Amino acid sequence: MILFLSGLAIILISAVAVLVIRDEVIRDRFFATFVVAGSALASIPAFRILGGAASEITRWHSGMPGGDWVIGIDPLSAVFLLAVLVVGAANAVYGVAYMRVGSDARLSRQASATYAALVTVLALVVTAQSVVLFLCAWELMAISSFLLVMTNHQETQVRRAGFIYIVATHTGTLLLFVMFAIWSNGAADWSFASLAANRPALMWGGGPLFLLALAGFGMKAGFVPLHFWLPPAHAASPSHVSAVMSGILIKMGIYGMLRVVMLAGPPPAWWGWTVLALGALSAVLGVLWALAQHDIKRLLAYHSVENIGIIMIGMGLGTLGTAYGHPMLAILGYGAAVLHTVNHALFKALLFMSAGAVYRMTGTRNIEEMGGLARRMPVTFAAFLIGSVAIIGVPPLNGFVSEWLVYQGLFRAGYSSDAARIALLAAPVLALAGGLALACFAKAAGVMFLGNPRSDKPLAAREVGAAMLVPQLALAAACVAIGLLPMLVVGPFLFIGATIAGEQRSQALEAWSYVSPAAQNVALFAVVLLLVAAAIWAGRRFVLNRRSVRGDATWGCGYGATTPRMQYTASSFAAPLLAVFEPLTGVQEHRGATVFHSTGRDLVLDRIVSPLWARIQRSALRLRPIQDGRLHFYLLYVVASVVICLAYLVIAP
Amino acid sequence: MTHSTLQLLLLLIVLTDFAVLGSSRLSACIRWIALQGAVLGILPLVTEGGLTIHVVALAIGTIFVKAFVLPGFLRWAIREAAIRREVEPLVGYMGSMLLGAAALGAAFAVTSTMPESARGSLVVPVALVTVMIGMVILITRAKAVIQVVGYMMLENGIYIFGLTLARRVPFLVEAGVLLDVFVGVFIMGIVVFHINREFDSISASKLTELRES
Repeated sequence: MILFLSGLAIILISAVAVLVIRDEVIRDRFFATFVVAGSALASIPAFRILGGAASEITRWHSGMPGGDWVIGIDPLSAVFLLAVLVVGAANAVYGVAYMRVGSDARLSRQASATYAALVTVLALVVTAQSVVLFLCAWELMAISSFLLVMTNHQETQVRRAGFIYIVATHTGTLLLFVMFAIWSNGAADWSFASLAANRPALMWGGGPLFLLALAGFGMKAGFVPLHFWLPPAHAASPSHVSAVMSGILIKMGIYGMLRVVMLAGPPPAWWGWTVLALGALSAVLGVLWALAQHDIKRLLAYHSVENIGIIMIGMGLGTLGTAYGHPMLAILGYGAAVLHTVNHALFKALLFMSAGAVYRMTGTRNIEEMGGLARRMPVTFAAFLIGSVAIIGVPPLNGFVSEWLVYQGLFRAGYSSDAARIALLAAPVLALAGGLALACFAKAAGVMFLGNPRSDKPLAAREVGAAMLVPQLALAAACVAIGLLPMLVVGPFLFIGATIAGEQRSQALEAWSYVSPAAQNVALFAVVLLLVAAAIWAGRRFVLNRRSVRGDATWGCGYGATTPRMQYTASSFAAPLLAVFEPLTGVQEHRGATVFHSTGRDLVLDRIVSPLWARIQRSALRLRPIQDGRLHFYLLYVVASVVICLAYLVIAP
Repeated sequence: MTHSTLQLLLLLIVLTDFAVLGSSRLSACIRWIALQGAVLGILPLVTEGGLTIHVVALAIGTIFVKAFVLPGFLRWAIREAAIRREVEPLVGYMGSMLLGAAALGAAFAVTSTMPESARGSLVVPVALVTVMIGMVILITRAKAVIQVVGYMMLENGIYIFGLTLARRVPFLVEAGVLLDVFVGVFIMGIVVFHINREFDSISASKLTELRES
């Protein structure tokens, strides 16, 4: 615990140092070094606990209302903590280099300091074990990430995105307040341990509590239809912030749901079905909407919605497993959910970093204006490609391992003899999402990096510096390692799944022996695939060595008079697939004699949230006369409401 | 001995409450609130528990802040901003006194519904009446300076209430004293001078010009 806290302290020191040190180079080096060192130090206890050591817990007598402050690391905390620290450290190195180009020094200093604060409170969110500390950390997380989203607040779009974000996140926090208030009613104190002991507070079988948790944490996780804040906020923030938001921040919603399930004990089956259905819906709609986007960061943001859906499918499976009494299903489901959370944190952060590098060099996020970047930015291209392969979920990378585990759980559910087997219906949904993701990243990677430049913006692009490449390569290496060595990774995650499901370790061992032969095959297959790819590459070199090679326009087919306008555009590539799902995509096509392009809109934001907001504003106008503007009246309102509350206390028994 | 001294001091506080309510001159109001601060500072010395270093430090700190620093600030503000020396109430002095009397009655009525431990002494009703009269002043007086006085009175009420808890949660009482310093500097610096500069007046009624139209 002392290691964890001193690690956090070191990260906070870097936040102060950024504001104090004048010299730019020393400041950036100091910041990156301290965040990485602090993260490394704080991750030691997490590694120890994942390795099988006992959970740690510390209490402070706070003297404040709300009881003691409790900080603890159990296996669930440890795995989320690792994700926070790894992605947080990689992004700190990337972020200082990213902010140095093209933004003024004061802005980048503030952004760096806020970033360090964000990493610290994220670590606190996953380790807080009492309600007040958790909610404080949760709120600080919302505020610091809001400030980071608003970094470029001079732009109208950014301000709008920030506003949507802060309203959405506060709505979620409000629901969490209600949830914890209901739950802690009658508990001994406000620590999580007492909440777990306070089962009687779960009235009506815990129904209201689960719904509040689902909506409150779901607002942060961003499943459909609560995802509406996510694409604008991701597009508006600086890229390293988008990486942390998409990789880590939205996962806090997942963490919260898992923590509630763990504390509240076996949830009812309908909760599992709800989570599973929402997950399936998010997985398909998220990737469909991603396919319609041509802004690379919005595209990636919608893919986060898809992946949250996949994680929730795993979570729903786990819940069904406990509800119907299939321990192995529960362990597989929760284990897959947590593993996919970690994997998504790795490859989504990687993708946002690569996209950010491209944005820095081209000055645009619209992929219709890119093209031909593979030759100009080869390392970034390789990193983006690795991230794409991982997110699609094909071997030999980590995305495949976790999606494969989800499939294992689904098939396992299919074997059962009770209602749980209906969950098998989610398997084709997941497969559909995977196929659409493949199309989407073929579009993104192809249009951005291959072919010829589609405008003059990519012409001046060149490879970014080492400070922006090394973090990408580090995350890519982590993706490859998990993909190639599933037998080392899957086991510990099944233990975490057993912790969440409240099962014994022996059950986890049984689940592990169930999947381990297949896991070895996965690893073998991945290695063979890599060897085959290497052999093809070597063979090509061997053959080409003897012949002269003539360079020409890509996709030119030997035809001499090609122009960049003869290439596939992102719109035209996506059009046939989008046409199949016409009513769901919200896509608008613009056709003319010589033009074709499409724009994707967010159906939930445009059709539901914005009209609802306008209506709330209209009805709020009726309250205008109360806003007299005189201080005395406001004080009178305060006194009146206090008197009414006191009167209620006197009258009520 | 200490018990009757305590009752006497508490009665003095109620008297100063009404004195502020009935005074028409700003400087008189400030004098009364300074006196109230001094009495308040002596209070922890005579409550049961004896003289510990902690209690003496609390008393000295309270008297210094509430009887000297904040009233000094207020006088300085009146001098600097050249404010007219009258209170200019929104509700007349007689009406204010009646409201204060009603508050006194309400305070004793509320105390009678409280648990046994609170009913024994005058501490709880006096705390309540001081808070309520502070609120009355905040609501019925137009000038920013006298509103600061009202706020200080409200704080004093909370402080008296905190004294009943001082042995158990000393931290909260001390935080209250610190809050006083903060609020004093804050309100002086921002409200008084800002209003004076922008609107040529330090009446909080003029703050209406800040509202959205």
